Amino acid sequence: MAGRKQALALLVALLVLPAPVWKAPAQDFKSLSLGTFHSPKGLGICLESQQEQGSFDSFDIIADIFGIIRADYSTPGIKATYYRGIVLKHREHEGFFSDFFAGPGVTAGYVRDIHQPFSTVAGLSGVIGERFYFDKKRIVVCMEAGMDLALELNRNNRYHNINLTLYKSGLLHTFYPQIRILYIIK
Amino acid sequence: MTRRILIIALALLAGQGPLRAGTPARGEGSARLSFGIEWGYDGTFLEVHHYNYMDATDGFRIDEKKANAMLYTNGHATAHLTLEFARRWALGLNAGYAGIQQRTRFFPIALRTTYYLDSYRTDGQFVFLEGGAGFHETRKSISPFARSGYGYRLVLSEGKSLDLAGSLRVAFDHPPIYDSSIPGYVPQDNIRRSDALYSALCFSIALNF
Repeated sequence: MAGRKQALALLVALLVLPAPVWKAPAQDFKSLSLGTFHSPKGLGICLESQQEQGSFDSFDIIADIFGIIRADYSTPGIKATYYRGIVLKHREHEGFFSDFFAGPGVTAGYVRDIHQPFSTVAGLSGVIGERFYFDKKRIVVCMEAGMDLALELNRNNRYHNINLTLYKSGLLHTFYPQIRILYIIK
Repeated sequence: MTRRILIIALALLAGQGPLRAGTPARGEGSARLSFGIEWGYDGTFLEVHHYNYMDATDGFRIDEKKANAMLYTNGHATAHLTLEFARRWALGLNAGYAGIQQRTRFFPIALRTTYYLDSYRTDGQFVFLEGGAGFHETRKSISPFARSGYGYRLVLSEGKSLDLAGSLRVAFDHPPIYDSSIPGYVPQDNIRRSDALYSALCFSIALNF
């Protein structure tokens, strides 16, 4: 069942990216990392687990800061995401190595959107990026971009109805940079 | 054969986890140019202002000096080009985007000098002093500012590092004056003085390449 899931995830990544070159990392691959998530989209904490060679699981809890940077709002939303990262290309450099990865996931939360009040959001997500591992430190730096293809549900108090619309920020903010700084616990 | 032994030795070393910090770095003492990005949280905690303006309704002159304690969340994101030299010193040019007060954001450009207590090539503490000017986003105004702080550098690999820092920033401004009796902003012609100073505690992360 797990194998089927991984095959499906890899298939999605293969469709998204042109001709990836697979090369397995030459390190002890099992690890658990805890870190922070930084982006104009939000700030949060993340936990990553790598149990299989060439893939990892990432769980994030993010304070969504939509509109806060521009001082339009003062209270953040909250969002949880999970994605499975699949390493598509492994590169060795002097003093560090990097993994180019992509992966599908899911997202859910209670956030603001463009011209929308706080809404319940749920849907699919996709992440693509590069992770850097350093020989001297148990630190992983990850630079990535992420997209949320989700629906938002909110209550319109004026007309007393419920709206179901597309979560626009999830698509429009795809190219906002995301940086994760992780510490490898074990 | 030698190559094989070397590979085995490297593999054994890699298996021991993180390498020892503080080992002599290559090129110790030589100058180098680095590029980096920095971002962080800025908490504006004090606003001191001196306003002097003509009241639009009755024509009286109003002179107001006030200090307000607060906690207003801002942030900053900058890119920097830095020359690191003489083992412990660095001189850099920073530019980016920052918030200094509610609805007051600017594009700062600043010079920063950093002193590393040990060396910029190894893990260790540093102190820095920065001064510059910010070009406001919504009005034609320039705000001088200064920032001083303390941080810790984690060297990730040769030429790549992660800096964690805390600092105090003071920024001067000539903000528009809001008068609740109008209500609205006091016309520019009626303003004799509008000086404000914002103090903020900044916590930042920087990646250097």
